[in-house]
Amino acid sequence: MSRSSRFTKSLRGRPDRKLVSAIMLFFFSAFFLLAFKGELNWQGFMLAAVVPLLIYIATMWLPRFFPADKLLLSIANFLCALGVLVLYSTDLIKGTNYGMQQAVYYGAGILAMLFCILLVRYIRYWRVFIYIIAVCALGLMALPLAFGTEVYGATNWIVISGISLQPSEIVKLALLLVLSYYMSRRRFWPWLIFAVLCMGVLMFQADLGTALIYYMTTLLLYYASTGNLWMTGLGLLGGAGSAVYGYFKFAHVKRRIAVWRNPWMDFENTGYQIVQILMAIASGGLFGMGLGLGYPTIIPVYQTDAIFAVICEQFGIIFGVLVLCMYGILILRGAFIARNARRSFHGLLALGATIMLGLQTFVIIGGVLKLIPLTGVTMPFVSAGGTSMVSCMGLIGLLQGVATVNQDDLTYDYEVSHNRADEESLPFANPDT
Amino acid sequence: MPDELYEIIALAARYWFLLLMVIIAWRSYRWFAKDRKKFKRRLKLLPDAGYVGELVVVQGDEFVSRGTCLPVSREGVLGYLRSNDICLTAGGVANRHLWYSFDDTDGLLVEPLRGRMIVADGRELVGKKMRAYLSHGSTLVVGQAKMRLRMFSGFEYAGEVAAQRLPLDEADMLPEELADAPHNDPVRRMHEIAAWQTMTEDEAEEPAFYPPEMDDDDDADDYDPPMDDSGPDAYVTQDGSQTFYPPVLDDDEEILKREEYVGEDEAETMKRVVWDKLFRGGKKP
Repeated sequence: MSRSSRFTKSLRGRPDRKLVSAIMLFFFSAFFLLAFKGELNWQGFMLAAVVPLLIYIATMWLPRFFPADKLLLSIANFLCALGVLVLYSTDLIKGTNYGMQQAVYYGAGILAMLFCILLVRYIRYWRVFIYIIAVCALGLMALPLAFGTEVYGATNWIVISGISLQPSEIVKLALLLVLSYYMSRRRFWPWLIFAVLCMGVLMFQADLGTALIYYMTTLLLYYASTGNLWMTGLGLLGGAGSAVYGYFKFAHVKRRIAVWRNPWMDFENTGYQIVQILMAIASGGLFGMGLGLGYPTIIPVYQTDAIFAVICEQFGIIFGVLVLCMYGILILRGAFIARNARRSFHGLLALGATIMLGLQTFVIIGGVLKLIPLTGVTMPFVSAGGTSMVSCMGLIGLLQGVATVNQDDLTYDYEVSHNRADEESLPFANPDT
Repeated sequence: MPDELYEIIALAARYWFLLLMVIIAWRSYRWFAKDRKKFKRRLKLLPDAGYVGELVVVQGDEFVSRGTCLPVSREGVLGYLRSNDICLTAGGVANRHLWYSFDDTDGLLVEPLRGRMIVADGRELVGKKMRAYLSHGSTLVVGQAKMRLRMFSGFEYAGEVAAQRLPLDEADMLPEELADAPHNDPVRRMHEIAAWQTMTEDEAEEPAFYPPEMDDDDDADDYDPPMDDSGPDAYVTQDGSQTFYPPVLDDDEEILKREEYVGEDEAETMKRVVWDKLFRGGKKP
């Protein structure tokens, strides 16, 4: 049997291997190509070897230790590696170092994911932990009010010995845990007080994009746990009222909305970013300008807010739509995990993580495409930034934790019903364990 | 590499990257769709998936009839509202009455919510921070409903006391041909429930821990709980007679809260219904 036919045979009936091999091939060829840009770039060759290897380890090797959901892992790792690739390609144009930094954050994100998986898998009684988490989260949230620095109108960053942190990104995980715990126990006031305090602090910091994500996640989780349409509708009205208040209260919000309505009105100053974003997407066309080509670094804050525009410019709009499809599949998978959870706490936790990721994606990509006003929210997994990466991988960790518990329960059910452990035929079981 | 050559290769590589991206997106979608179908098929083979057992009402009232089976998930809230995981519409059941959680080693943990009262295996639990573990065959009294927990196959030995305290000699109760049938066999299940109902009507012959029938003349207000906490015996009233139902003390407002919906006038009930609908997320069943 020839080597190629052996390879195709090993892929047959193995969706995980098929997908991961395609992802590895994509990143190998992309980094390999970038290594030839300008002078021979050894960093590019190294990344061409290391990134596919990391993807293989994170998606095929890690699940040997617990029954993780490989599809979710594959998609999250694909998006993280895409962020590293795009940032590295812009580094070659502008001479920055975002790509390598992002690769390090990617590693930190995998650690955060592992931590969250273990947290969900092995903690049985959450009562004490929830108190501690809630108090710590509120303290962390309030830190920027005392020691924060203002970035683009919002005072939501703190700098500790040269490292910038955005506490509201980390508190997202705490918010989900607190909301899910109290909502699963049908307690009303504790989660309401916690969520109101968090959002109040965010309003003081003028971080309205994150406040919007917090608010909508809380509201949708409330609806999921109670099915109370009246109160949810009332909450939506309250949210709309707050948005109007925010418009009149904060000058930078007013400015952003004016720019959103007509960016060409002041295209050299306030509208410069959105105009450059739209021009980058348009100049990329259907198939893009080519990896490492074009002028994406002209866009202000291209590495965080406008990373989707950079993807569209280099790879084309069709590629951008397919990236959105990957987000769509990730969200559907998250909803699938939430629906199959056996405990309401786990169900709400998984649903909350899914809603949060979905909302964040919608808010930033909607802003880039000028569907809604642009906010300073990061694109999950792809945008440059350590706290964002840790928080998003933490959310994936929570989802994975619930998925592993679901899989354990399903395996147990199957064993007691059929008196045999036929794990291979179970859905999203690890085919190679 | 010269810039011109790189540009030509990068322009050609665009299509290669797009092709790979299409393959990645398509394979992800196919994997997701196939997995969902596979999961649905698997669930058809596991009709009890997600549930660890059921609470069988062995003594109900006008709102909940005897024999009603309430599936028990791994974790949730039991109460009167339809939004609860277990909706029990018997009299004296509060909107959210108790929280429960299943644990493979300890059994089913039940914990009454703030100010509520339950009786688990004859032991009275009032308010939060009081908890009890139920196992296969345990009894649970919530409001006017008395229920018996029936764990599904595979879960019946959860809880350390389960093996020693099975209330029924099931082998005697079941027909011979069903003695070796698995616990989740529907015919066996039907016979078990019927057997338990028979037991309830004939409580005098039940095991010692099971409280005897309530004497109608007993006034629940006269109740004085036994000081001896060694076993789940029947309640002993002040005049020495025995009663099955847990106490209702006049001076204990917390306990009286369990009388929600009972004894309220119509206007009060309507107010409560509106409040529940608006703020507590549930409609009346």
